Amino acid sequence: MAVRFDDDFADFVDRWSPALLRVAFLLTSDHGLAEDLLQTALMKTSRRWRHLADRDHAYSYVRRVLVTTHTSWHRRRRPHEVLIDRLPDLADTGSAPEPSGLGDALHALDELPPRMRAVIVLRFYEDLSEAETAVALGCSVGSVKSQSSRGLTRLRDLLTTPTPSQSYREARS
Amino acid sequence: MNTDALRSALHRDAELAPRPARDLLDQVAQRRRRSTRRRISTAAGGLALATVIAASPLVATSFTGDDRASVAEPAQVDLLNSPTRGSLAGDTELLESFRQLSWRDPSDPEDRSAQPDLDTRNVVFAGDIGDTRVASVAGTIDGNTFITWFTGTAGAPADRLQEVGSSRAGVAASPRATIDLDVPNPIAIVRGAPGDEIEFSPAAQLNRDGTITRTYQAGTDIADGITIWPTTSTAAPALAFRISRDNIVTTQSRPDINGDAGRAAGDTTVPSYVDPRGYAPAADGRFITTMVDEVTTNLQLTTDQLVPTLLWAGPVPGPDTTRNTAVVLGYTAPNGATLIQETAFAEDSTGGYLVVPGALQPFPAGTAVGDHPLLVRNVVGDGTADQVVVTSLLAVGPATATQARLTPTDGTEALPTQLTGGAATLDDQDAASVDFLDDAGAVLATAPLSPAYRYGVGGSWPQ
Repeated sequence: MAVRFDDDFADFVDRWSPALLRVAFLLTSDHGLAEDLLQTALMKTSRRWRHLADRDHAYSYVRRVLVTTHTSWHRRRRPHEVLIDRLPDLADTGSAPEPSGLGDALHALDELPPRMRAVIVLRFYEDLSEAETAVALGCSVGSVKSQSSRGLTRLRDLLTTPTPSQSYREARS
Repeated sequence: MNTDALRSALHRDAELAPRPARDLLDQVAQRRRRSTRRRISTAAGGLALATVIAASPLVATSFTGDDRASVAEPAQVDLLNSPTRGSLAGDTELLESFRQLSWRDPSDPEDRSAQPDLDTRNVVFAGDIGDTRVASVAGTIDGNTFITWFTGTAGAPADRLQEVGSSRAGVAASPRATIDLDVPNPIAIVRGAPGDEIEFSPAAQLNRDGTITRTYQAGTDIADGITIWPTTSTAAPALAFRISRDNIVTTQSRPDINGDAGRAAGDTTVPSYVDPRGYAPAADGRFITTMVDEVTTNLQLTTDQLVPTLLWAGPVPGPDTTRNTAVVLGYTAPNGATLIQETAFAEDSTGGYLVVPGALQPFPAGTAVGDHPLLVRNVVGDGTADQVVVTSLLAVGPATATQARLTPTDGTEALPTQLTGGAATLDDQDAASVDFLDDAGAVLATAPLSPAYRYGVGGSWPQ
């Protein structure tokens, strides 16, 4: 059974998939899972593409699918997928006042619950307002406020106190 | 840290994301085809498949994973209103104490946002399984249903149970499986819907005919739609489960694992391997360990049984900022079947390295690992913000071959490339296969381009 996409859907994927994949990566910290997440979101979107009235806001639509799909996913180990074993630039100074090392933000995001992580990514990477974030996540503005506040507090703690998981990200095998 | 610093950090780390695959749209189309077939299969009742499965209780899944096309939608359970299942379901006092248990967040026990509303909570399962007490509780947080597991010693009161850290998930109504390795005798427990048939596959099998499959066996039912399988920290990473309903497979997946699985932390022992061609100096022991662990874990066979053989190791094209190495290993299973595995590694100045799986190809019994020529595309990135990615081809043929000639997909003819020790790296191009030639120009062997590593669907191992 052949699947043919509309040309403008193909154009959309071509134009926006790098940005969407970056959001997916910030949500998952894993290349394989990020690609899986993006594929799933695009597949879901493709089914509704012809009914999507406002193509100018298609990116927002797919991003919402991406985020809601992620928060609904199982958290499971995939021991045989891409492995990353990296030593970030953390000196043994006992503190790191700013998230200066490459990957630090990802490591910190890994410690947040999925919904809180999504709020942080949408608010501070995608620069959505609280109201826009609430729409994207399908929750109340109050929930976004509280999740954002708690998330920032957690990130502040995580990014100013080096932990073993920050100083050495063990290869999963 | 202020929000500007956070924004900068997020934007910097976002650049570590991979680039979209060149065939992304094809992958989406393929995924949608599978999904569409699932729907058709469900609507039609899956009569043909049901017949096949009924006639063959032990159905092996194919290496290609194409059987995913027959997967139907899993049965959904109203977790917030369904009656409790399990051997303790009749003990209302105990169930109430389970219902009241705190849902801790492992990284922030004080975070109340992880606590579902008490009046929404429902004990989905409660029972003693061997020497382990297990309770599964569902509840809502911000209107979304979540479910978690608690475990402890059989007979323990609720306050002695511990939440299994990694098991919480948002798709609560879908089947869930978890393994808690922190209890004395770990089990995999799968929660399906009442009426579901749940089976387990302990490991992938490398068959004599050169296929890799999984065979599923019935687990031990402890309640209607809830089944267990004993496991260990070594066995858990290879375990898969399958749920069928009305003889239609609805779910094939692997359990969540709580606790340390696989190789013990700090164990840096390099597995023993054979090095008939003398490539050991070029193969970092950590790389060998990573590769061998992947195969021994998924097949649940030892290195003694698989005889890892180093077929090639050497530099491959990659970013300037990393030391880029590829390693080719061969394995021979006790039944004579062989497996060729290729992986590239990009190591930075700190000693950290990126692992890029390249090829995993099984072959039937009757040939030696050294007889299998290989053509694989390596996609090596440096993991930096600039995300430099370098692609190339690696051809490894018979040691006596002196030249390799690619067969481009466009039908043109390529010029031969000189080989060293039967191997060479080549500029990336659309090639269908490679011929390995001797000095006289005779073709000694031909290798098709290896299938690309399949991200997002369990790699190249069958589910």
